[in-house]
Amino acid sequence: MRALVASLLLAAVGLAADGPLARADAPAAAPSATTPMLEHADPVASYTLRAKLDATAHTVHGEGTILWKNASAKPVSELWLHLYLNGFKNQSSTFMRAPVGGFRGTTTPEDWGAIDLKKLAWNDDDLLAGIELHRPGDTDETDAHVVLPRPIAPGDTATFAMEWEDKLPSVVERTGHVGSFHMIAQWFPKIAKLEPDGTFAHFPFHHLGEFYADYGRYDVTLDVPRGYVVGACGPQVETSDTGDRHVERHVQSDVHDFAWTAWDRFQTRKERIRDVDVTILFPPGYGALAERELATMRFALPHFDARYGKYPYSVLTLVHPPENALEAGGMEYPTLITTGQSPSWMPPGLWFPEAVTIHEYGHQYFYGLVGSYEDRWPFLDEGLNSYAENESLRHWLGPASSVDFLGFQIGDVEAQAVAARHNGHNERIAQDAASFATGADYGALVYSRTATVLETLARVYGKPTFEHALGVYARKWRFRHPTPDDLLAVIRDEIGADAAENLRLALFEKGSVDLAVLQLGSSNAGPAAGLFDRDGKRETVEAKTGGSAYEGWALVVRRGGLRFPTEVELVAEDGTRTRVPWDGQAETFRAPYHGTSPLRAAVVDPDGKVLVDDDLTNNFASRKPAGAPRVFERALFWGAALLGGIGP
Amino acid sequence: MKDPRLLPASGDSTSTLESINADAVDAPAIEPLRVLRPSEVRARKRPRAIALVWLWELAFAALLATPVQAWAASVWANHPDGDAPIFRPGGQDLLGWLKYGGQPFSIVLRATLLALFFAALVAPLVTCLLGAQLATARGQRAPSTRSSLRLALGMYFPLLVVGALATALEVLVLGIGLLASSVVHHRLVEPLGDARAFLVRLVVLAIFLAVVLVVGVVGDLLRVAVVRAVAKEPDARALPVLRRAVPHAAATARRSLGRATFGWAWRALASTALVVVGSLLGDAVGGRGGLVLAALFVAHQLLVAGRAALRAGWLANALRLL
Repeated sequence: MRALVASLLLAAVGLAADGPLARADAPAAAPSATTPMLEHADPVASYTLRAKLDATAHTVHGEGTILWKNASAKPVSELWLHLYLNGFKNQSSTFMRAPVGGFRGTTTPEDWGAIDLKKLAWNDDDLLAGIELHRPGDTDETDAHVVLPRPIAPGDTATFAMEWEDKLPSVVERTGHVGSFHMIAQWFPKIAKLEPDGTFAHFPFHHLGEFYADYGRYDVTLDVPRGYVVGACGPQVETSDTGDRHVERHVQSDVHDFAWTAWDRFQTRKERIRDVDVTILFPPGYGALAERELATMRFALPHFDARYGKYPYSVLTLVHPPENALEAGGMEYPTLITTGQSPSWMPPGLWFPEAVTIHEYGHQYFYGLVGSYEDRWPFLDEGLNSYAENESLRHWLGPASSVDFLGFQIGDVEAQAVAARHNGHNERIAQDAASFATGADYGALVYSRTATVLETLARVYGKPTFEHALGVYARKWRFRHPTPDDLLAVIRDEIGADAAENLRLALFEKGSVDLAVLQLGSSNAGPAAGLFDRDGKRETVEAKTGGSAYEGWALVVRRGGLRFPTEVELVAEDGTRTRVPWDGQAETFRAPYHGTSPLRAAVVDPDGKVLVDDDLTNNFASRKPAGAPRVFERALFWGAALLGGIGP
Repeated sequence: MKDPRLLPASGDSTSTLESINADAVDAPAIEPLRVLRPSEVRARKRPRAIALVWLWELAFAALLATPVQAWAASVWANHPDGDAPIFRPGGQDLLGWLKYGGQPFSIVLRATLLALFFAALVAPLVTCLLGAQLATARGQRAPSTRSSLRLALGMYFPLLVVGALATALEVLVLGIGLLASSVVHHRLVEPLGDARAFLVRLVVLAIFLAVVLVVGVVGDLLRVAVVRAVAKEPDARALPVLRRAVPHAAATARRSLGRATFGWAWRALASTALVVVGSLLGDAVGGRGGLVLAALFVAHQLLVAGRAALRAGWLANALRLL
């Protein structure tokens, strides 16, 4: 045991000495960036807010106005307001009572949270009295309805004044307090997104669901105890200290949410990367991890700029929550992301801090800049962003982009593919968050399977083509709230109808594929043997043996509805390898073989492009099976090493 | 019953053991087995014993490796490149295989654990053999494997007990260490913050780990004390052997714990370095086969033999300290 413990420690230290981020400077390949994109969003819902944090009571007093525009084609005579914090009010909320385990946000708060609206007025009209906090028969109070005294015409604006009181919960999911740490998100009354047809995209807050809102300008003044360090969306434009209070004002346009954090123990690391001021807020002792996050951003900012269009904001804040507030980590808001979810030190080669950082940054595009309807189509954000995470990590760190440690070299997307296969047939990918039966399904399908399907498209139809298509999507739909149809249309236009149909099947109809080699055979390519009647005589033609020309075939099958063009590799006994293309349309395919020695083995999809393939272990067959000598040799060595720990 | 072929030694370090052949008056003169003086004990003089340890490890490693190999071969033997794809960076085929390996994996794991348990039972016998080879000699030559085996059988039970007790104590100390470090971390996380509390936790854990290592070293001193006691009195029962060995080991630990710990530590570090080298070699070879794989096998086994030599060196060192 001593030797085992010592071996593991030394091995960890020895391998950790390997330069961790030596490949950090790999330049990002730039796909075509000619697709026009909007420079600014249409400001529909702009908030001017003031918030005062009581860090002892864990409350926020808020007040302010919403300047709202009816951007639809129809008069609007109602409002829907999201009061997300009420998801933590009691066990009757949709958030707390959703019978889905797994994923995140499943614990009961030690300290309940709530948002109490004290004032809601439209000019002289008090709207608060008529507010409907919940529907008849439902107890959820996160989706409030307000009937307006008069309609708002298309194009007209209205200013709503409001005042409210937040009671922050202990951190359960994304928001709340632990000790003096406060992550304050989903904290203000927020008008639901107005759709072009005049309806509101409103929904109760579900613990698998995320958000959706109109763009606007957020002008928020934050008042916290003196000594607290604040991180918030948008640049700080004013700051002052009065008595025992510290006040900051942050203003940001072209965004659809505002979150902030305040803690008296944050340490700060700042760096200007390109023209973005990047700030990292982290707990004491997490300096090494903060440096890794910063290094990640040095790669990610130019890489995503090239892939998906320029990051349009002047600031980006990374918040690394303390370890006892893990659930506040791993989340995205405009210009502010939360990382964390790892201990204060992690050996290089375990690339989890990089993965979390790059994933959350990727949301700036697929959640932030295109404004996906996350609650209705979570894959449009999490799925596309998981692909972007996989692609960028591999570009930066190479094939072992998730784990490169103790001899294990695991790629990020390859790891995702395991989950994608495991839960691949349980449910549809393309459904709203609340419809998923389990959190495990949600995670595996929305994140992993979507990323695996997209990676398959990239490998099959060509990475440059696919990356160009995704770049076009991100640019074309910037600030425009795309739907799945918009994504499919871009794929159809940029890659082709087959690719779009495969994507549609995979997303909406549980489309899957399993390629397999069923049989193979070959024989001498001589005249047919047997009895033949020729010129009135019966002749016997003997079977030819030992010739130098062979003909044969390998029979492959496609199970499932996804049809990808691929290849069948035929391996002769003399080692010759030939590849036969297969369009993947038919259910079976007999790949023809011609060679100078018998056919020994066949592999369908020899380059492993169809990552979404349900079973990779039936993609090959051989007439002369061999052993597994490499596994045996390694097992011998490691077995002996293990025995050394319990031996003499 | 007393084995007439092994007569007890008289107690001092130069006493002799008569071999079975020496019993026969007319037999050719074969030098009797004797217990070596501490200063005479040298691992390098016992290459056959080291080879024996290596062979034992190879044989048992083969036993451990067979279920894994069979599992891998059941899938990858049908690939034209054999099991090479599972060594490709990225792990696509490796993970794809493991994904469908749920049931086989569970079977392989159980078979491996069973083999390890069996190995844990056999290992003390190998220690006994090695100890007998190191502690005794026939004149200036190494004792025969046969006579060493006879001595080893006499040591087996006491060494099994020592091994079990030492391991139990190590696990106990480690468990207390884990618990203590967790409690300390929990208490300090609020006043010190996560990272500093984590550092303190590591320090506390390191202290307990150091205690575990010292317990192991003392356990090894007890083992060699048992070896010596049995070598001197082959037919003694386990309890008297332990009664003699424990104070002997305790006295050695009081006198030479630092030297013993150092003697173990540098060899343990060297041994670990050999494993790291083997791991790096494996990484460098990756999925290559043929002669490269054969060369890797040779290199790996040389490293394994090197570790066996280091362990033999440590036991010889411990015997010298008695």
